[in-house]
Amino acid sequence: MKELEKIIQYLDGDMKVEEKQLFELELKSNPMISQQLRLTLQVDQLLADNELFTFMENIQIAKKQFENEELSALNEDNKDINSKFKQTFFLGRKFLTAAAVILVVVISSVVYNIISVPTNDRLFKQYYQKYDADILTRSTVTNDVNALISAIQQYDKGNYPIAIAKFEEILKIDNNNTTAHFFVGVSYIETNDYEKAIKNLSFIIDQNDTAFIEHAEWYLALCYVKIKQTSKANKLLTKIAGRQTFYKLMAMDVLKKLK
Amino acid sequence: MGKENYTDLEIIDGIRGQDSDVLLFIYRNNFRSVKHYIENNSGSEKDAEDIFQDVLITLFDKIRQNSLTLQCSFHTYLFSVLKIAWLRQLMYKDQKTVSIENCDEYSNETLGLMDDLIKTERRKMFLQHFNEISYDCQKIIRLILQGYSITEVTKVMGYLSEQHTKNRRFRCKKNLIERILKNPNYKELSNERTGKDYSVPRW
Repeated sequence: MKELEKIIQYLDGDMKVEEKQLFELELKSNPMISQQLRLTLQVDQLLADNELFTFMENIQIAKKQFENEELSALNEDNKDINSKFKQTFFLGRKFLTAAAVILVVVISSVVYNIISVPTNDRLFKQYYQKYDADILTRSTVTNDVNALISAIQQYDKGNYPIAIAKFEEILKIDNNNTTAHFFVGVSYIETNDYEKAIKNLSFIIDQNDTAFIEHAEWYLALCYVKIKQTSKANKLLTKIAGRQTFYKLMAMDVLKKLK
Repeated sequence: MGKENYTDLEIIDGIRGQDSDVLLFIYRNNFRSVKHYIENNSGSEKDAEDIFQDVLITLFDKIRQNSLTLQCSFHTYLFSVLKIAWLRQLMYKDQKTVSIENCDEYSNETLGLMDDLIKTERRKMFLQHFNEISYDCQKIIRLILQGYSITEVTKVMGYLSEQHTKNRRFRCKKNLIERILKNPNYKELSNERTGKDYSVPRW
């Protein structure tokens, strides 16, 4: 994959003049490199296409709206069947058929309720995923951030009690460290201590920290879902769903399913 | 609240302008028949959802490039494209046969759509791998491609140094491209037209 590294460096403008000239010669004589260069350009072009990303998001929204309409129509049909059944039942006609119909309706309704209205716990499990700390632990670090990196490495390995102790130590010295607040917040979620998770994640939102605010809002909303603080969850999810972020569609989903 | 009905021209303009009412109207007026067709031709509801979205993306692309000229109703056109897209998937993936009754729908123009459909599939494959890499990797790649400077990205991402941002950008991109290169469908989708003959047979 050495060729690929050269291609990326070439496209990112990270090559010296001589390297660039040599690479351009290689490009002319090696079809594999030119094919990979074309692929990389196609990927760049796609990922820079904001209009297309917005369109894909908009068709997802239209699809969900359509599905909701279909579901409502189905419920209306069920109501009609119910009401027809009552008429039939009280008129004393076709009793057995009607009994079968109501049985189907009742069973469908119970099953529907179980499937479509998940409990808060189920919702939390469905949407919660540990934050990937990969980005920070591979940093080139200086001594003053060693403690933080060490804590994040414990978090990465899933040693949450150790990670929490390390983050809390850091916060004793520097209570404004939003990175530590964020990771200790998620670590508390992992250890089911939602009150402490909420305290730390809220701190990031209060500070308006640009690096972690989107993530903090999402994890905080899930904490509210988990501990059944539904109105707070609703408020925060509505805020997330109203912005163009990674969590937008998931927030919309949870909002629909939240009791 | 959207209108009850839209003309074909309004639908085209609505797709171009990403009008949410028009997109919902397209779903309301086409998806049931699409689902019925796919389910009757060896597909599932999920297949119908996927292929319908692929076709909408393909049409959006054509519309914004001003390369779409309707010579029939929007519904007929959308359905013709969809049938070709589904046929391609069936022929390519499962080697199954599909029965399509109305051959007249296959004009030269719709046959020319094959490249557009392959392009959509290719982009879908790119996005599938893009979604596999970490969220921060996705964010750094997109921020840079949107023209943000290394300094700005370093600040937004809360990184420790600009060199780290550069290293990170390199690793993320390499990871993404390697995943795409390893995809078994990469070769097939890498060119607009490959060795396979995509002409639609006459049933």
